[in-house]
Amino acid sequence: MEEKINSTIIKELFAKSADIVVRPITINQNGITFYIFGVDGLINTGLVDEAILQTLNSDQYMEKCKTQRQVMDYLLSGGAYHVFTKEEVDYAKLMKGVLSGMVAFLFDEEAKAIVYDIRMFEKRSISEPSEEAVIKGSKDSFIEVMRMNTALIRRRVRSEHLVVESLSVGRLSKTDMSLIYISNIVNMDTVNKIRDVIEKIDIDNLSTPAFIEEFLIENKKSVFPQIMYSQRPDRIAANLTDGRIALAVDGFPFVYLLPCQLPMLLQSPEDYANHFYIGSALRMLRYLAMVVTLFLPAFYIAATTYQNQMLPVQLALSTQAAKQNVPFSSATEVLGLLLAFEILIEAGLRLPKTVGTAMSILGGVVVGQAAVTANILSPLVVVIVSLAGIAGFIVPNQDLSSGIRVVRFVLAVVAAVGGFFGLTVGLIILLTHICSLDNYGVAYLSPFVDMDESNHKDTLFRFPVKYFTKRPQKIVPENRRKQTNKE
Amino acid sequence: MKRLLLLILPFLLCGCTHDMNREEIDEIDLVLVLGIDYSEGEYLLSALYSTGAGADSEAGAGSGKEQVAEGKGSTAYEALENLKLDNKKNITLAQAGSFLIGEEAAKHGIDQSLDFLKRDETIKMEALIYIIKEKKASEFIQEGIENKQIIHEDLEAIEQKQMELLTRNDNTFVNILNDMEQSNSGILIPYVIAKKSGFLIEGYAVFDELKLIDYLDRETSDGVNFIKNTMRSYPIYLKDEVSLAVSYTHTKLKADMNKRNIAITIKVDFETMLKEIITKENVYTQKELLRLTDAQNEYIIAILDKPVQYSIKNGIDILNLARLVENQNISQWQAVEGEWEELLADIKYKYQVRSQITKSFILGNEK
Repeated sequence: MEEKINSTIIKELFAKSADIVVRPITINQNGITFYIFGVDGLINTGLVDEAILQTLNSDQYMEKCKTQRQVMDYLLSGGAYHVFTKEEVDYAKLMKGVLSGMVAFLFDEEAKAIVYDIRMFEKRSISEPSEEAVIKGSKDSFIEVMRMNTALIRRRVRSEHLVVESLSVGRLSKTDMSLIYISNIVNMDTVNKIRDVIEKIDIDNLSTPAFIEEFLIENKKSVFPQIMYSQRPDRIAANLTDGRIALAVDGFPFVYLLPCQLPMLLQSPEDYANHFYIGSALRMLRYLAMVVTLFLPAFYIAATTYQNQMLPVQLALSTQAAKQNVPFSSATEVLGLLLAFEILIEAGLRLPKTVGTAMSILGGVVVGQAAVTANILSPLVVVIVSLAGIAGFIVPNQDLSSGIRVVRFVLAVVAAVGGFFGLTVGLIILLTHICSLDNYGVAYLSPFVDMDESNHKDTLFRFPVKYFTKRPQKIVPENRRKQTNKE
Repeated sequence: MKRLLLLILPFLLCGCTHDMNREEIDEIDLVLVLGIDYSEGEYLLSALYSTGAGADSEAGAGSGKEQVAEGKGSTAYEALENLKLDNKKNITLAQAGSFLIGEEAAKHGIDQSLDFLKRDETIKMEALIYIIKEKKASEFIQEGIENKQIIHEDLEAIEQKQMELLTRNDNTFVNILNDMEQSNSGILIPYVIAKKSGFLIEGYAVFDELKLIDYLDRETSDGVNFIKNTMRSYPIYLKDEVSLAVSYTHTKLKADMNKRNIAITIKVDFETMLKEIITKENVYTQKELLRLTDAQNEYIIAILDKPVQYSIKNGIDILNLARLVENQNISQWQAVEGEWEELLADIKYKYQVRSQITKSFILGNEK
C-alpha cells in the first residue's frame, strides 16, 4: 500500500480498526473539507471539539481561506491554538504520532497534516513507591507514562544542562524512550555507547523490562544485576547529578540507571535521610545480611557434614542432638527447605494479599512446625534457612536479591559436595566473577576497587555529606567537584 | 566447555583430600575430653563424648549423657585407632577442648603422649592440656561420671575461673608444643585435682626433658604467674591489718650478662585496692598507707622469690629465663648455651617492686 498522507489510504489501512477515527470536517464558511485522524481513547475529544473544531466553524477569517494550504497556514499561525502544533509531511512520523495519541488534520490536496499533541489517556496517579518506600523522604514514584516521569525528574533537576533525548524502540510497539543525562557532567562516550545499543535493538515489541535490560547489560550470563532501576525520582535525580545516565521507557513505572555498580544496589534512600552514623550502620547491616543470606546455609552444610570443628562445642552438641532422629542429610534438609522457601515466595506473589498472608502462616509456621515435630527437619535447619531468607529481604534491590538467591543455592550445593573446601572454591569463583564484571567501562565493584579515596566515602560507610565533594571518578572522569563547602 | 571443565575441576579435587570424608554430625561421636594414660608399657586413651539428647528430649539439646570409650595400644596412636575400632560410631577429636594426661603418662614423657595429636589437622590449637595429679586420667573421668558431673563443662568452668585470675592460658595445645621445642627450659602445665564441688587447678606440674618431675604448690605457681606477667588479679592478706586485691600488675624482666655472670632484674609494678580492714587503726593516713604499701611490696617479693628459689634449688629453668637471656644478650649467649644448667644456680636475682594502693569503695560511714 502506498505510504502517502491521504485520508483514503489511511481509511483503507485502518478499515478494520474500530478505534481509529478518520472523519471529514467541512468548514462552514468556505466549504473546504479536511479529515480528522486520531485514536479514540487516546485523544482528548472534548478539547478537539471545543477548542479546535468549534472555533474553526465560528471563525470569520476562515472565509478568506480559499485553498487547503491557506487553511493550514491559518491554523499553524494560531487559528486553532495549541502549544504543541506542527506540520507533518512524513507519513511514518504521522503514523507514530497519531498511534501514540496525537490528533492530526489530514489535507489530501497538500498530502500533509497538522498534528496536535492532545494526548489524554487513563493513567495511574502518582503514588508511594511500593519497593523503595521510606519513612523520611519524598513519597512520589514513577508511573507508566514516560513523559510524566521525565517531568518528575526535571522538577528535581532544574538545570538547563539536563538533556532528555527521545528515542523509539520496537518495530511494532514503537515504544518511546528518553535518555536522560546532564550534559556538562556526563561522560558523553558512555551516552553515545548506550544510544548506539538502543538504536541497534531490532525487536517487534518491547513489552517487558527484560527485553530492554538484556540488550543494555554487557555480561548477559551473570545473575548479578548490571542495570539498576528505581521507582524514586529523587534517587534518579541524585544519580544524574553524579554523572550517571537514566533511561525512561514508556509503559514502565520505573527509570533505569547506568552504569550500575554493586554498592549502588545496596544503598537505600533512607541512608541519606538519617544521621550518617545511623545511615552507615544500616548500610553495614545490609552488607552483613548479604553475607548471611549467601553463606549461612552453605556454612551449615559444610560444618555439619564435613568440618564440625568450625562449630563451637555447645552448638555442635545441640546440632547433633537436634539431628538425631532426622532421616535426611544436612544438605538434603537445607536444599529442600530452601526450595520450599522459594515455592512459598513464588506462591505468595501470585495470590491475592489476603490469601497470601494466610498461606504464609500455613506454609511457614504450620508446615514448618509440623515438619520439625514429625522429625522431617531439624529445628536448627528451619532457623538457618529462615534467617538466610529474612536476611535476603534486607537487600534493597529486588534484582540483586533474586541473584543472591540463585547464588545461595549454588553455594549450598558446592558446600554439600566439598565442605569448606568446596565453599572456598565457590567463593573464589564468585569473587572472580564479580571482579570480572564491567559496566560501560566501570568495574562492577567500583568504588571498592578504585584507588581514589574520595570514591570510598559512600560505600560501606556513609560519610557526612560535607565529604561528598567529588563525583565518582570512573563515571565522571572530568568535572568531578560537586561541592566546595568543606568545613 | 573449557569454562565448564574449569568449574568442575576444583570439585573433583575435593576427593583428593582426606578431610573430604563426608560424615554427618549425628553419625559421629564428638569427643569432648580425651584422657591419656600410660601403664606397664601400654597406653590407654579414654574418650569422653556426649550421647546427644535428641530433639525431643526433655533435658534439651546438647545436655546429653556423657559416655566414655576406651582404647589400648603400645603407642598412643595405636590406642586411638583401637578406640575407634571398638566404638560403635566413628569418633572425631575436632571438638576436644581438653586433653587430660595421667600422672604416669606425664612421667613417661608428654612428647610421646601428644605426638599423634599434633599430626591431626582437626585438633583445636586452643584446646587445653591438664595433668591429673596422682591419678590416671581414666580414673579421673570415671569418678567424674560416677559423681554425676558434666566433665567437659566442669573443665570449661575451671578454664573460665583461670581466666579471671590470669590474663591468658599458657596451657593451650599450641603453646605446649612451642614450649616443647625449648631445650633449655622446663615446661609448666597446670595440674588438676578433683574435689567434691568440682575440679580445681592447684598449680603447675613441672617437666624436665619432657617428663613430669614435680608439682609446684599454689604460692610458687602464683610467683610464676607474676614473673610471666600473666597475673590479672591476686589477693594479698596482711595479717591482722588489711586484705588487698591486686587490680593491675605489670612485670618486666631484664637480663644482664657479663661473661658467665648473669643478673636478672624482676621489675613488678602493681596497684591494689583495699578489700578488708581488720585493724582498729585508721589506715587512710598518708603514713599508714605508705607502711601498707611497703608491706604489700614485701608480700609480693616473697611470692616472687618462691619460683626463683625453686629454680635455683632444683636447677630447672621453670621461668623460661634461657630464652630471655638469649634474646637480650644474643652475642654472649652462644658461648654459654651448652652450660645453661650450671649457670642457672649462679644467677643473681634482683627485685624491683613498686606499688600503690589506689582506691577503695566504702558503703556506710567512713572509719
